[in-house]
Amino acid sequence: MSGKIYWGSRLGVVLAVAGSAVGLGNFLRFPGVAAQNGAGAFMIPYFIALLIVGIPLAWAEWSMGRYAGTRGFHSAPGIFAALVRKKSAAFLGVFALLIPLMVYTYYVIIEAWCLGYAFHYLNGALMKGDNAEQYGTFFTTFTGAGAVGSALDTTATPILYFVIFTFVLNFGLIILGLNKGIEIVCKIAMPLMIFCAVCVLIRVLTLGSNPDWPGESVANGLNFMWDPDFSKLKEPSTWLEAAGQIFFSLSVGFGVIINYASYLRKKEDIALSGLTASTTNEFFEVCLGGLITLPAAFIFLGVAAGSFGTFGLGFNALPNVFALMPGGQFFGFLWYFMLFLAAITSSISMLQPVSAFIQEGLGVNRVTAATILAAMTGVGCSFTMYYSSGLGAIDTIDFWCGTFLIVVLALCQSIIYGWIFGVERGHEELRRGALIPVPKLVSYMLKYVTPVFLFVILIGTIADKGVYFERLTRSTDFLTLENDRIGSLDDLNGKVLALVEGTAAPDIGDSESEFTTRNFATLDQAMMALQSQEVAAVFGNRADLLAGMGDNQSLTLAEYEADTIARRSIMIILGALAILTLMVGIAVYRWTKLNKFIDFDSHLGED
Amino acid sequence: MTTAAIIVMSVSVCTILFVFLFCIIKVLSNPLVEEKDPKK
Repeated sequence: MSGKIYWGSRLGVVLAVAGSAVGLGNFLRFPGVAAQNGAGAFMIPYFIALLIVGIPLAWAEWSMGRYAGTRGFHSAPGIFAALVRKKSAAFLGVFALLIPLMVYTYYVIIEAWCLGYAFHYLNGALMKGDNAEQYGTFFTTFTGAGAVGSALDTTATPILYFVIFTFVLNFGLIILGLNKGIEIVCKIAMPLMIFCAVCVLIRVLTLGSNPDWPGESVANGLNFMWDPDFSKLKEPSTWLEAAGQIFFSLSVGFGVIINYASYLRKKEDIALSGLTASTTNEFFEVCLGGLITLPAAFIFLGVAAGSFGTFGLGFNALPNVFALMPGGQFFGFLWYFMLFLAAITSSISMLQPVSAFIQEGLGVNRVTAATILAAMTGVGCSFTMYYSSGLGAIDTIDFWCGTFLIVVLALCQSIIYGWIFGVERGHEELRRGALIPVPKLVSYMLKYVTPVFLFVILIGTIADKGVYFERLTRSTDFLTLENDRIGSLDDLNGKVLALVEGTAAPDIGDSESEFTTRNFATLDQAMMALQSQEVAAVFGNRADLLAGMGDNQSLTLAEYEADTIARRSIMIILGALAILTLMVGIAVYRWTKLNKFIDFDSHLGED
Repeated sequence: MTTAAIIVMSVSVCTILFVFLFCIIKVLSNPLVEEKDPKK
């Protein structure tokens, strides 16, 4: 391999790290989470989490990355081995490679959605008037969310072409390398994103009010987003949501910062660079995302704007909003082009850590590493594209790799930094070349507060997303009935009701016992009429089914069964393949790269 | 729009904007340190 690679400019590395962190979550997730958790009051736990966990943890990653980078390690296995001073610690790096690798397999698809939406604004195909249903239909058809395999059907949707284009573009940039690829793209894309977002912001702030509903004005939209509800601060969930938002937004625990920082010189500043990258992310999230998304949606959709999820807000609600606002076609294009830029700066950052690992481990050049990586991610993307029904694959990988595992990795990193690498050594590393003072308090927070904080987030994530754990273990046998004839649960309840005069409507959220108690006197009649055995079997598992279905209660039972099996298959096949490949890869890496240092400690030095 | 909403929004946005601009200006005014190659 050729000589050492370094960033070409300080601004370049700052924008690359910020570009990695800025993504769809800044514009689509943050406003919704804030509005549902006390609106303006949410900013109190949000800023506290930023100061005591977000920025310190980012600094820790910058320190660890540069420390290992100056000793010749740019990929997570080498970095962890250098930090722990044991070659076997290289295997800890599996998480830091698995996360970006797996997340890339779906993120590139979302990136392609953004490009596709921008394209469809250019040709006017997304200007569908005020019929809200059409935007949902367009999204389902375009993404292939309607049925398994439909995303690959090019006669129904062009999404495959957009995915191939973005996939090739990403790898083209990786082949160009750190300076000519990633750095240049981020230096162009980040200012361009600010320009696009400011244009859309000016348009939103000058919208005035909805002529049909004068109460739905931009001022009321801003009020909806920012009016503080301090009573929400008493709820632990508000604090957990704020911590989670900061944590997931800054891209810590992703394996990216640690890799990017490894390309810094020994005496280069990391304190100011880390703080700048974090505040750039915050600027996009609070100053742009917080002022654009919900206020715009509120003007045309009212308080319902706050009830959409990330994808619902981004790809169903906002197209409806752009169709109704003056100049909507142009601003819609700007918005989705900006989201595409936000996504591409993130997706290339996911490829670089794994590319560095392949280059170091196999001693191959960038092009060969990129080719191997393209083959690996290509298999993953194909699976994710095929299991497009209900976006189940994206949702599943996003939870396991993009949510759960990054908390685990961040927790591992904070323990390594605070208790193995040592906060004193870490603080020295952070202070070397620093252009701003770093308080000693940061070290103590990283040693004592951050691991506890991350542990709480981990527990909160497990408690909140229990359905994902349940899906991996629970049986789907109870679903093997004549599902299509019974239809969805809503249909089933409707059929029961139609046969039972004078009973209250069974609530879809009722537990099995509540339903049975309320309708016991007449349930027998209903069951007989609907072929009792099948209905009894369904009702016998109703509570179990509802618990497992979560947000998917509108699916038919057959669809839900297919969805559950698909999710399980994806996790088992993709997860096992990726872990096995990476473990073998790390074993090779240890043999080829680490074992050449007979005296590992001496190579690492004392600094 | 309520006074509380205006205050919270202004304080949040202005604080982040100020820190962001301060950091970016400081980064731009401090180019990278070039280390001399000892072999040369």
